[in-house]
Amino acid sequence: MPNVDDVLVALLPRIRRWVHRILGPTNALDDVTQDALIEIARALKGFRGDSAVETFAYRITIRVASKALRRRCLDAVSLELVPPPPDHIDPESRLAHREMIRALYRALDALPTKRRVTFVLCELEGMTPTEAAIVLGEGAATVRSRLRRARDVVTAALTKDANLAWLGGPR
Amino acid sequence: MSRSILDEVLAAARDDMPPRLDPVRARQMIDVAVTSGQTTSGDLSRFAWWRFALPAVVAVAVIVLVISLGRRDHEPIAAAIPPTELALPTGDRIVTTPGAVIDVVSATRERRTLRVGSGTALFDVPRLAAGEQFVVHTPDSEVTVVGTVFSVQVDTSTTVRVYEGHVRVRRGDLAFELSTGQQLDRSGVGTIAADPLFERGMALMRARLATRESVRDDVVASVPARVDRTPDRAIVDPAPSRKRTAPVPDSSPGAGSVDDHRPFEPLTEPQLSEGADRKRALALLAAGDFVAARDLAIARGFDLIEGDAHRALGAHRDAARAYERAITRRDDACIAALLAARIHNEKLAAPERALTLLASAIDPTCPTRERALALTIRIATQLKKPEHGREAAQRYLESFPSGDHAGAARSLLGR
Repeated sequence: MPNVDDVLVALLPRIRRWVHRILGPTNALDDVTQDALIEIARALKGFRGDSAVETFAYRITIRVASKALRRRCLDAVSLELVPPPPDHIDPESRLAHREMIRALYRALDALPTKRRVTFVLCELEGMTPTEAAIVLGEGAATVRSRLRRARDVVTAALTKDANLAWLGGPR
Repeated sequence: MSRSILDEVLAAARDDMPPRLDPVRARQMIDVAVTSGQTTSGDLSRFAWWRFALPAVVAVAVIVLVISLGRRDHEPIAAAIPPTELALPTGDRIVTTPGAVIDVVSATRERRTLRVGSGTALFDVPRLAAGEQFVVHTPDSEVTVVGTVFSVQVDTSTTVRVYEGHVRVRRGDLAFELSTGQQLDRSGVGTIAADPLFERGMALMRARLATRESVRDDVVASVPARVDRTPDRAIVDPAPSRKRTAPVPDSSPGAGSVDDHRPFEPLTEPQLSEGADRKRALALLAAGDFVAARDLAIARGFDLIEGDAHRALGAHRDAARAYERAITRRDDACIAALLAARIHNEKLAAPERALTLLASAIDPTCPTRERALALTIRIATQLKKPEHGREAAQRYLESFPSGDHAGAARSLLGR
């Protein structure tokens, strides 16, 4: 069995990033991350090494974050919770960046949890549908179909979002 | 064409990272998980027990010396590495010179008492709330602080220098009140002169001016009456008040006069309407220009916005102070109290202070009531104050029987 402390130390930044990506900016980030760490620490007792530790941790994190989404124990996304972008971006772009993040998560809030998670894994974490299917423990075709629907819904929501009207001309 | 919106938004979101996690907090989270991993699994969604069992964090950044809390007999502490910077969990900061000897007599929130045996120590003390006291003893003097930056230099006698704010000094039968820019040495009160920590004191003073600490009326801490010793000189304030006290006349040579005790004059600002400035400050905050937002908020007294800006810049102590000032404004009291409490608990390792502040956030009219009660339960459990925790749990269940923390509250009450 791997050393629990070592595993958690190595994975914490990634776990936290995954939670952040799935939930969006929220005050509950550290609470949900803590829940995930606890679940991972407990589950490591029975870890048999039939997947990479990271995949193992990812599955647990997704489960915990999905539970948090369903419980709706999250605060509304206030602007100041959205972390600032890299420093070299000018003030107008900083505002635009923040507004885009908020708009994205407003759109994701309208998705069922599974579609949201699929969208995050593929579009934000950069996984292929096949890789996402392995993490989610589902078929690749299911994941592709879910991803397609998620993209359509999110695109439509972003197109209608008045706060993003400055992003472009006629579409 | 509509894909381009998605592509642009995704590009921004892929760059988006969570806020930085403090290493102390990260270690704490891992410790809780490792400890929990050794126990039997339960249903975390019903009872997040770990949130009530987090070990108290004794955290502080750059100190060499260990200072213990509570009612202990004083322990002499010698500075090992000059200059040494200490931070008490109560938020007070101390810088000492090599070889300085400081005793901590008591370090509770209500009464912080230190003794400087020798050397020079510079103190940065946040404005005290009603009922709080900060006193520094030297072999021949007693310095009572109201909320200030000052230094105490002890060799053959004691020299007290005030960089910002004001202090009262009792020396034998004599009493003095010193304000910004004054010092008291063996020859009496005069204009401040350099001491070994002069540059540091000036830097703290400039920081204080930036946060406008001394613009507001000070809360005068209670001073024990000593009328039996100095019936015509004692400064007696049996109850805290919001008025500046007049200096005590003193006939000793070089004593400060009333005219020397001028209140701090705020910097002049263009006369813009408050509403327009508030919107501008919020827009700066939204744009991520936290420095400009902070400066404007400070200039206009927008304490809540100032707190947000400090928080975004990672200046947690300044944020806490700004939020605490905002508590005095009725409209902002609830959210300000909750934000201040969270900073004290999560960033400043001052759960006791957080608990005190939360009392302002759990009023039945407060929109923050649920979060404040949940946090109260967590901190009270952490501090091993079962009665306080149970009381908060009871109130939580009365108001939020189906709330997210209802399960945990019931567990605490044994239901």
